[in-house]
Formats: sequence, structure tokens, C-alpha cells
Amino acid sequence: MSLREHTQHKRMKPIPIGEQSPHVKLKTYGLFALGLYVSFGLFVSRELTWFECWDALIGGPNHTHPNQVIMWWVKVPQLLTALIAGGILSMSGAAMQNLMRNDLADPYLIGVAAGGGLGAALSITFGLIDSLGIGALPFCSFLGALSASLWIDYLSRTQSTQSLMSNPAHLVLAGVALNLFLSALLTLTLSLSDDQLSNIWRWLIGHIHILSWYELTLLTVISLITIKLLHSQNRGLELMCGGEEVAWSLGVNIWRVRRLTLIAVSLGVGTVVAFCGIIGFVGLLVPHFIRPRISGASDRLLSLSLLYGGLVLGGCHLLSILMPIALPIGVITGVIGGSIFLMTMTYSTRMMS
Amino acid sequence: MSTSPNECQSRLNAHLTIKEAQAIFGLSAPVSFHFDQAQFVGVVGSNGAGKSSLLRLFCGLNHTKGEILISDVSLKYLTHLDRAQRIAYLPQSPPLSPHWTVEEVLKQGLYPHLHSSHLETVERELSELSDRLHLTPLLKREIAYISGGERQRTLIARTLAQSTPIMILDEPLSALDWHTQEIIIRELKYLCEQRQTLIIASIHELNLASLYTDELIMLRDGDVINTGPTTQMMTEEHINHTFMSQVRALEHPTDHRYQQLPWGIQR
Repeated sequence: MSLREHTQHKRMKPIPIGEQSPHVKLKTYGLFALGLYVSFGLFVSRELTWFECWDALIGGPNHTHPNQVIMWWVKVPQLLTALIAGGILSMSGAAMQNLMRNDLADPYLIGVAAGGGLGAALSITFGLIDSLGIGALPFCSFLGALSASLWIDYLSRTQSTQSLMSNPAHLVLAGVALNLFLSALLTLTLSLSDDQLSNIWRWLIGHIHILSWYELTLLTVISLITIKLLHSQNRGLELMCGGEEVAWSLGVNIWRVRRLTLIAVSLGVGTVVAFCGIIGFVGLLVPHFIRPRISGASDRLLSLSLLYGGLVLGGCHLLSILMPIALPIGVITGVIGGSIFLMTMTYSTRMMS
Repeated sequence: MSTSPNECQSRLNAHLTIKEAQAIFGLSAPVSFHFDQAQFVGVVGSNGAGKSSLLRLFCGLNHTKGEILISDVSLKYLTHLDRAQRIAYLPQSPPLSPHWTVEEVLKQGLYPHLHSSHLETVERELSELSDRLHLTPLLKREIAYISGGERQRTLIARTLAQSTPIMILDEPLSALDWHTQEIIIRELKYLCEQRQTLIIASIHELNLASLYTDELIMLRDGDVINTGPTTQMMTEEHINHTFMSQVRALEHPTDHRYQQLPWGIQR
């Protein structure tokens, strides 16, 4: 074979220079929005003017001026928390949707978050935080989330009729049932612990709390582990979308992919639930928004979900601090995310017909 | 991953041995087979006779006891990627994400070779394959916007893209018009003859099976009732026994080696 023929066949179809593929565009927009978000987040405030913000930012993290305290101990941590929490939630949502081959799968729907919530609520009720330190909260939450996801995995496997594969429909059914069960247990814990009720309630409805830098570091480290784990299973998760038998036949170790994904999702979601409470909708909506817009590059789903999830929750957080009354962020994501999603669906259904 | 000459050899041809394997599901008795390279094996039988179960058993998805050996190496000693470089399996109607493009689906077939040194060879073969199966104009199309037959062709192409020495296909010809069926089965025959590939496929179209396959496995009610060379199997007696039907086998007008079977009840 001549050299020319060889180079002609080297790649299946080269992308013409100058024409950007959709996922690159989406990434560019996302990074641009990230820049906007950070600058807005830092400089828009109800209490301070732009110049005060700038001075406080330049002044660095120390206690010399109250504005600096507001900037470095309130605004910056909240900004980062919203970014990380949103990113982790929607990346986990995307991973779960691929793993279970179901558009409805989402850490909140299938009970992983409820498990985390229960773990965290129990640790608050029994006063573990006072005795063991703040690390006990994410740890209990992770344990709760992990046991929930292992349970789902086990249920889906014993329910499957044909040999070694799990049945995605059973997986979701088991998850929904588990979610209801764990939510009931959570309510039970809540109603049994009167003295801690307001504490747990405040935490449960989903809120970007002001975390200390120590807590923020903990959140960041665990999130990085989650992202790394999910990213290492990227190709496997993408192929799982085409059915477990096909993924197996293509050489994917489907058991490993499933196990690692469940562990990563429990770790990330457990921690986010521990620090931010239960924030719905982000994990469900963001991957749905990304998926049809990156045709031809499905391997970017996880990383783009991470970016856009962070942006969405960050945007909702900005809205919530600009609101005249303090609204929990879970309410804002629900109202805004839900209405936008329903609008898009109505629009695309009409386009189809 | 290293590529010793030995491994290259095993990438190109392999034989499959099944020793007393008991199926978890669908087959009543343990089965034993030996298939050499460059064979085209057809599996025939009526609906529910256990064709899919048998094919899943062959690729190691459906057995409890017994052993499955690829070139005398047991399946359980192969890593997932090594296995996927040797044996490819196409289930009956696997799901596809509606947002995938045809090109993406085809490239999924390259997954087992992604980190090996022969990736370029396999990639080149894939682009030739998509030309031969007339998929090149569809490459940028999303799965949601292609027809059932195009979808089936895409799935077959993904399996062939794995370029394994053993391919197991569950009803590759369903949802295809007669002309495309001809294209696909000729492609399979071509792989079999030129690349020494062992192909095992369940086929409903008996005329095509009789014209193209070398060996036939006949199934009825979860039992293997007959195996042997196609020329000996395609007789009225065997077919009527397998399908509990009454058909007449006629000689093909030009190709005297095979027989043509019109589907009319003849008494």
C-alpha cells in the first residue's frame, strides 16, 4: 500500500479545519460563563460596593477589615461550594444515567442521596459531630449513601433473570423503592429528635452554607477523588449505554465499572449531601441538557456535566443572594430548573410534531 | 500491551472448543462442539428453540459447568480486553443511545484495540468496512434519525470492526431488505474466506443459510438435534424434523451443490 493511501485512511473522517465541533463550542461557552460567574460572584453583593469588594479581595485572607472577612470567609467559600456541589451532583447524575441506561436515574431519585441524608441525620441526632469532630458528618453520610447504592446493586443483581447481567429496569425500580423507604426513615429520625429538629430541617432543605476553610478543603479533596474515579470509568460508562452485554463483548469489565461508579457516586453525593443538604434537580437536568448537544462526542458528557452543573448551581446561588429574602437553594433549582426543562420539552415536542 | 508475533497470529485466527458446557438458561442438556477457523456456521430453529441461548453460551455469557476454549485457552484465563480481541458477540437487538452518531457507534468497536499497536490497521479496516456496507454517507447521522435497517447495519459493522477471529452474531439479517441481507452475508462470507474468521450466526432465512453456510446446527425445544455440513443438513427430512413443518426442497437451478426451499406446504 502506498504512503498516500495509508495517510488517506488513517482517520475515518477528518474534521474540516475552521469548523468547530459542538462539544468544543459548549466547552468554550462554559468556560466563558465560569469567568462571568466568578467575577459576578466576587463583585456583586448587597452589602458592599464594587470598590470595597476589590479592596477586600486584594487585601488577602486576613482579619484586618470586616470587608475582608466577608470576602474571604463568606463569599469565596460559598462560591466554591456552589461550584463543587453542582458539578459533583450533575456528574454523578450523568454517570448514573449511563450506568442504569435510564433517563430518570439520578442520585436523588434512586435513594443514594436519601441514604446519605439518613446517615447524616443519624450522626446529628446521636451527637457524633460533637464527639468526633466535623469529619464525622461526611463520613456517616458517605456510609449511608454507599450502603444505599450497594443495596441497589445487590437488588438489581438478584432480580435479574438472565445469567450474570443486571437488569436496568429493576435497578431503577429498586432505587425508587429504596428512596421512598429511606426518606420515610429520615422523616422518622426527624420526628423523633425534637431538640435537633430545626438543625436537621435547616440542613435538609438544601442550602449553600458558609463552610469553614477546613470543611471546604475536605469537600474539595473528596470531590477530586470522585471526579478522578468517575473520569477513569468514562469510556466504560459510555459503552454501558449500549447495553451491558455489548459493553462486555467489547472488553469492558462491567462489574468493575459498576462497582467503582457506585462507590464514586456515593462518596461524592454523600459528601455534598452532608455539607449542602438535599439539592434536587441539578443531577437530573444538566446531563439531559448536555446530551443532545454533543452528538459525536459522547465521551465528553461527564466533564461537560461537571462544568455546567457547577455553573447552574452557582447561578442559582447568585440569584439566591440577590433575592430580598433568603431562599434555600433547593427551592430555586427546583423552580427555575424545572420550569426551563418543562419549557424546553414542550418546545421540542412541538418541533417534532 | 505487547504484540508478540504469537499474539498477532491469535488475533488473525483462532478455533473455538466447547466442552460439556451446561447452559444456565434455555438449553436442556450440556453441549460439546469444536469449530475450526474459516468456518461459517449457521444456527437454525424455530422461535424459542434456544438459538440465542446457544450463541450466548458460545461466547461465555451463559454457562455454569464445562469449559469454553479459544485456541485451547480457557475463556476464564483471558483478561477482558484479550477476550474482546478474540471473540465478538452481537446480541439480538441491543440498545443504542439516540444521541450517538453512526461514526461513534462504529468506533466503539475499536475499544479493545485502543491501546494496542495494531490500532491503525484496525482503524483502516473499519473505514474500508463502512464503505463496503454503504455506511460512509451516514457517518455523521444520529441514531435517532436512521432507519431500522441502517441501525442493524451499524450494529453489524460495529461487531465486525472488532476484527476478531471469532464472531458470534445473533440474527444479523433481521430488519434488512433482501438486497442488504445479501450484502451482509457476502461480507460475512468474505471475512470467513479471506481472513479465516470463524463466524457463527443464527439465521432465519433458510435459503441464504443453505447457500452460504458451511455447517449447520439445528435446534428444537432447547435441544441440539442435528449438526453437520450444510449440504447434508438441508434435506426435507431434517428441516421438517426441526421446524415440525412440511416443506419440499428443490435443487437450485444454477448451483447444484445447494438446494432451494420454497415455502409452500407440499404434501
